[in-house]
Amino acid sequence: MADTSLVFVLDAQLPFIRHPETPGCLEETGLFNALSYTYLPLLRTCTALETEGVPFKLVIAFAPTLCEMFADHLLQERYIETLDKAIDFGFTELDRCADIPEIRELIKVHLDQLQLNKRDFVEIYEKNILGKFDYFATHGYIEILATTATSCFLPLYTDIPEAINAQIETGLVTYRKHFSAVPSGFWLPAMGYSRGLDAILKSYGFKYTILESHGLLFADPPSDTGIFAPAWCQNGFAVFGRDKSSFVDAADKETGYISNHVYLDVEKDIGFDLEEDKLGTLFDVSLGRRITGFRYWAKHGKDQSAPAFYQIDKAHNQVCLDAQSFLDKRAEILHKASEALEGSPVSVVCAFPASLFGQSWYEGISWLEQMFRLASKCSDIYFSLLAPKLQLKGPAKKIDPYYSSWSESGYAEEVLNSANDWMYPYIRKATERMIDLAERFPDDSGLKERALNMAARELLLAQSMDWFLLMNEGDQTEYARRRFEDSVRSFTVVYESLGSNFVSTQWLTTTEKMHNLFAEINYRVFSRKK
Amino acid sequence: MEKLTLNKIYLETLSTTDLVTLADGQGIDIPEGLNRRFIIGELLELASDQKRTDDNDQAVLLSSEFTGFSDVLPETYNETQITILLRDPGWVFVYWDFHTPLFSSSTTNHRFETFFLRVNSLSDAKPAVVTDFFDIEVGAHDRKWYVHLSNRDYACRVDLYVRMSQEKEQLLSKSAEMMIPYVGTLDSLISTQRRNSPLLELSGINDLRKNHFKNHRQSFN
Repeated sequence: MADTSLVFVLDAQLPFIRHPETPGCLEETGLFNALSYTYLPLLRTCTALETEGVPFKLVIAFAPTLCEMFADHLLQERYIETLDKAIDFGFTELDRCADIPEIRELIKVHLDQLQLNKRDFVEIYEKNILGKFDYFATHGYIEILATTATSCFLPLYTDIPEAINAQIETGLVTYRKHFSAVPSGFWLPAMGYSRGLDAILKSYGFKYTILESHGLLFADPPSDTGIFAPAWCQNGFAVFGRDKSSFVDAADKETGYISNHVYLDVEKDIGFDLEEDKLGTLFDVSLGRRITGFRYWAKHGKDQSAPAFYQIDKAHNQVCLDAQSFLDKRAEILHKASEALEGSPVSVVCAFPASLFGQSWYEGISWLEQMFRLASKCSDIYFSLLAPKLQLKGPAKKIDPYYSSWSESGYAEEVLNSANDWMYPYIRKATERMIDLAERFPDDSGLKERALNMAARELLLAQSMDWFLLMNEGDQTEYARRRFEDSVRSFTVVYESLGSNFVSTQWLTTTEKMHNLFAEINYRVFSRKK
Repeated sequence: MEKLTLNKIYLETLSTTDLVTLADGQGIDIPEGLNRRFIIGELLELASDQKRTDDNDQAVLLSSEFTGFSDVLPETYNETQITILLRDPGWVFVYWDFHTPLFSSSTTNHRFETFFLRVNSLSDAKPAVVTDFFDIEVGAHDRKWYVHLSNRDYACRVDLYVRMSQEKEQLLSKSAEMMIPYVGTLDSLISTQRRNSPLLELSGINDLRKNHFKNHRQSFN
């Protein structure tokens, strides 16, 4: 029987957003929603599968910014406060909806989930969910890929290798802080690849990465095995090709599973609909309306005139059908591929943003769980990690992968267009200046070293493509612009202060407290390699 | 139509129903089920357009009162430099800056005609040889341009020049050389005549081809 496997990869990414000065701010809710709807349910799923002996394999690329937020005490406490408020609110919501039994049932289910989240977060994981992911990694269920310190789109920095080195080295230091494995695989943010990145990654001991399918199919020469086995670059570095069709099948807004009208309408949340005075105990409406998790409606079907109540049983049945459909489709493709390769082992890599599961697609975690359960009962397909797939017979000829990314354009259009191109002169100038600082002050210590580390940290934050992408979103440009400019300005303050030999300790301490990530950063990561 | 004085903080506090009503009042067509973030984005864009119109009306007045803010990022780093970034295999983004005295002396010179970009196609020889080039005239206050690479050569470089009447054009700055992703094989993959191997078809080459024809045909012709 042919050896046909699936590799499921999650890009666990969030920009560093932490505002100690504004309790209850809207922006931090992104992290809390990620915890409530993606990561805690995912850990529950993994625990259930392990307990029941159901085999599962999952590859996750945890962004260091996300890890640092997960580990931050202030954010942990704020998350618990948010859960407490939501639980209290849930009981008042039961009263408000006393006459609508369908909604009361949904409120009860949500209350159960909130209480479960609080119990898991506080008592089971003792606020450290990364520890549990590390447990699954050390037990061979999960492979955790390394990635850059912030979500930097590397192809736009290939002419400044010091910037790429600094991103990788700081990412690795943060990886070692949170996880115990030694990573062999590297996640390129947005799968952004251009010529030369293979050599840099290999120089850090990485053995493979994943590219969008055209990285392999448009390669010179194209990979003989398509996306069904890793291909090797000239230097022996391996590249896996992402199966884009799996993403389309699951996540396409028009045709994907996610669009089914029995699934929960995640946008129709009472946080956006209820009168201000009724939401006051949950959050300060003057800081912005937000997802509360109290959602009662199924998606708006194309042929529906009025929205229908969400029905959990119906959604669950659909999840099972969709999981089976996904597996059947992949199995069919894999068998055809294996035949074309005369029975050789084949694999497909399905990579998704983690936020799809539980957040954009409420039932996504359940779908994932069903797939593991269904696959455990079927003999012709299984889940795998990436590392074992390096053994697959790859093509003898070496390839030069093509410029590619997983964004809609396939290249860099989303991070380089008329809405965000004004940012490049600043970020690249700051990067050049940081390299210059690392050269000029190679052995400094004390206050100067603190200032230089602050400059490096702010620069890494400014290089995050999140700000560039948010500039494309009409309602997010103000925040993105402010965060980017604040980081560039903070960097510039250090740069100019070092020129005048004066650094304000008060300013430095305040900024350090505000952006307290990468505590172990060493600004010398920006030095030119001798 | 009522004049908008909206900001994001205010819009974020409105319920979705209120947002839809507000958008309707401003003549924005909101399809059923549209994400509230899009509605807020549309309203902010409209408010921003109105503000721009107002600002233009007051431009003369403001320019005499403007004293500058210490917290804005600089408009120039005061050095003559040109940089290129590869957006996709067919387009590069070019931006440049001037050393202020050079800019002033150029533009105030009575012979000044224009600045222009010379887009060079380079061979893979070492050192690289310019195999072809074309020029793009840019305004004195332009600082960025998107350039389509019509030649599918090995690499490209963009140079910044100034042209003075009755004088030889003067090179001000050269960008770094940038390798263009190899496209020889891709051209044949894009061709509808080509029959792909079953593995490439199973890998999604047909969808890729359609998508590239739809979005990037200019880059791969």
